[in-house]
Amino acid sequence: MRRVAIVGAGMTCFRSMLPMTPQEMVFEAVRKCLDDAGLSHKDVQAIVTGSAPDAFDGYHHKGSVVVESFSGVGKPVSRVYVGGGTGVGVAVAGWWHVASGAFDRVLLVAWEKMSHPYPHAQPLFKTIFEPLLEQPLGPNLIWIFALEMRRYMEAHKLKKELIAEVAVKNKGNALDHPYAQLGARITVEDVLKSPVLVWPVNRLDISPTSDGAVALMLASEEEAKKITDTPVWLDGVGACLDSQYWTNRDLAYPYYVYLAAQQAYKMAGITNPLKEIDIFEPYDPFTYKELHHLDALLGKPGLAPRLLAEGQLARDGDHPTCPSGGLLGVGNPIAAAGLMKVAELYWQLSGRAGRRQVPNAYVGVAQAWGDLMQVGQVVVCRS
Amino acid sequence: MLFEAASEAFADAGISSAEVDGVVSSGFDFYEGISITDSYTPDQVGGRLKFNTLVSNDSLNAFIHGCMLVASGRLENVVISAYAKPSNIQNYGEVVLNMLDPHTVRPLLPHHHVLAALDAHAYLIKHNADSTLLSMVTVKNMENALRNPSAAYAAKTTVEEVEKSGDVAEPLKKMHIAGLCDYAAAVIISSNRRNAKAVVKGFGYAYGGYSSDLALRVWGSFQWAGAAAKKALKQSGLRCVDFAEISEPYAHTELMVLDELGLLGEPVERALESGELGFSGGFPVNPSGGCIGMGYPLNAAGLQRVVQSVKLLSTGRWRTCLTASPDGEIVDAGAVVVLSGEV
Repeated sequence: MRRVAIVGAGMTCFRSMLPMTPQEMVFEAVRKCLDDAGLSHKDVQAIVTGSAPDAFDGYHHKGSVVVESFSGVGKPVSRVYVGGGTGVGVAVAGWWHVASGAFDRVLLVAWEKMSHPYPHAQPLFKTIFEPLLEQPLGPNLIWIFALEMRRYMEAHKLKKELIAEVAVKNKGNALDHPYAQLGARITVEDVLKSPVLVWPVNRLDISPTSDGAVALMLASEEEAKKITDTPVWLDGVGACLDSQYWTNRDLAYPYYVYLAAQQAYKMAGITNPLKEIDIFEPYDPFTYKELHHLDALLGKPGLAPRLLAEGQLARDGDHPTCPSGGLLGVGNPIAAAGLMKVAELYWQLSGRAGRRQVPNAYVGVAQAWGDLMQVGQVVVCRS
Repeated sequence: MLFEAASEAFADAGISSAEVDGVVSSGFDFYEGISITDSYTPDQVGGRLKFNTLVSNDSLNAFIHGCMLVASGRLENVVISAYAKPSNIQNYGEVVLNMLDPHTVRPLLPHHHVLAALDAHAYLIKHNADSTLLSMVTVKNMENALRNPSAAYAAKTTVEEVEKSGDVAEPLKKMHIAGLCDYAAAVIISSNRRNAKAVVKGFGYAYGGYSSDLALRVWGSFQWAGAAAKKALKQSGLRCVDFAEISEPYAHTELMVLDELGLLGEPVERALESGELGFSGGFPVNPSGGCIGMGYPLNAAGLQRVVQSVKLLSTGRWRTCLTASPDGEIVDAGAVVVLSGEV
């Protein structure tokens, strides 16, 4: 199996209404990525793009919309998506492009333009639900996540005060991220006093809707050594999709994330993630989701809340979690958010994270999740 | 539909769904009428709680992703799945319209048949031919489909009948356009050749001159096909193949792809006229009947071609083939796979 490296990264600011078209966002992220790697468009052999629902842009076949932005004409271009898991899924797909020997230099681009839908993106999410049994009920994402959050709290006897600390931590971390949308110094009380949207979800428990794009450059081992002295190796990948019938499973534990993580760990030779991984970037569109996913990444239900309570998930804690600021702080342009997490691993593990830098970070895991609470995508990176 | 296709594929491969390591599917939200359509892929193909991704391109592109996954050594058995249910789509033309730029092109409400007619017109001018050339493709493919029990539009017809089938958009006649069909396919790719029916010798895919505002489109030619075929043939080590299966939503699509492949020793129109491309010719093209003979299953067309290619190779009549599929009706992008029946 060929080893695959990340050799460059770039991203736009994440904003609620970024005054840029999807094409402009992708162009900016790709330009920064190629500049970071010291490469040009001519060096790119293939492109993997990722963007979640077509409805956000109102485009059918929307992968074709941004091809000019990365000079993709004449090159192999494809688009993958797995809902909210798309960002990390793009990295996983990029991995097999290089690991298979088909390509040596592959550009990854993920973007989302959530400000196109008027007046808000949320009504579009209704169209992900099963059209006969679920859509007539008029569901939205906050409803089902409120169900899951309630179940998680009940399973581990968690208080809202503890879960709110995730928002405090991540928005604080995001103050050091130059592209962050919602970096802020807030308190647990601020979270609890923010409006209840669907109990037990308060407004500050939720990541924002965002526009943004992220690009990453992958290379084979031989090429990576020519491009940079500080490659970050994509040593493990995992992906898992559970049934679309989300009502038929226990929402307390995302078993599909656990399985995806186990795939990635097996590839990377990791047997004790808590001990062997220095940085965790679990998907955190809601406060509880960071803990929910970290439980699965650690393979121990209920462990993440205990680590949070002990302060171990802080950037300067024993197990730094979402040092980027995560989706709660940096923002959540669906597909781009996941790839931002992989970019954070690249910056952290190559020592380029600036004020966010976690000392002595050599191994990291990034994860994204999506669809109807059913998909887990995981990568393990190593410097 | 997918369950039936997957069940048949498992039986054909002699494996159970429990032996599936992952699923790569092809899908488009607007075709399904559901956002994030990948959510609905795992249950019916044995993919629950397994490695999974969705490729939002023609299913031949998804097939290539599956090939890369297996080649990486990461997975042994991968199911590639795709289906189309156009009978559920009330206004297919409106869906396709939504792939065009909403400011510069969409307000003009161009039907995709009209845009395809620009391709056909440019192609015929370039080759100093008229619409009877397209009619010959239709006659060939519908007749080939008579041998295919899976074909929905098989018929014995004539160039005259096709020419009289009614104008759609000059020079396209009604019978130059493949009828839509409901269809599902599942193909199992494996690193284990134990029960192999065919071997993937090479693959390639590319974007050509296409942008949503159509500014880059060079009508009458497919820039993707040459680049994709070149890579696939080089990887296969083959200079020629015994037959080709090409997804053709329109009769001229087949000709435009053939033009770029460089596999014929003579001009495409001459080969067609001489019967060289017929079922019993020297280089049969779409011996399955193609999309005109079988029906056009939207993004599942590429996998439809793979299934037919494998079935045709298994007859022993031919040893190698090239399978090509564009990324929809008017997008200048697509994929090519070279297969061998010698396992």
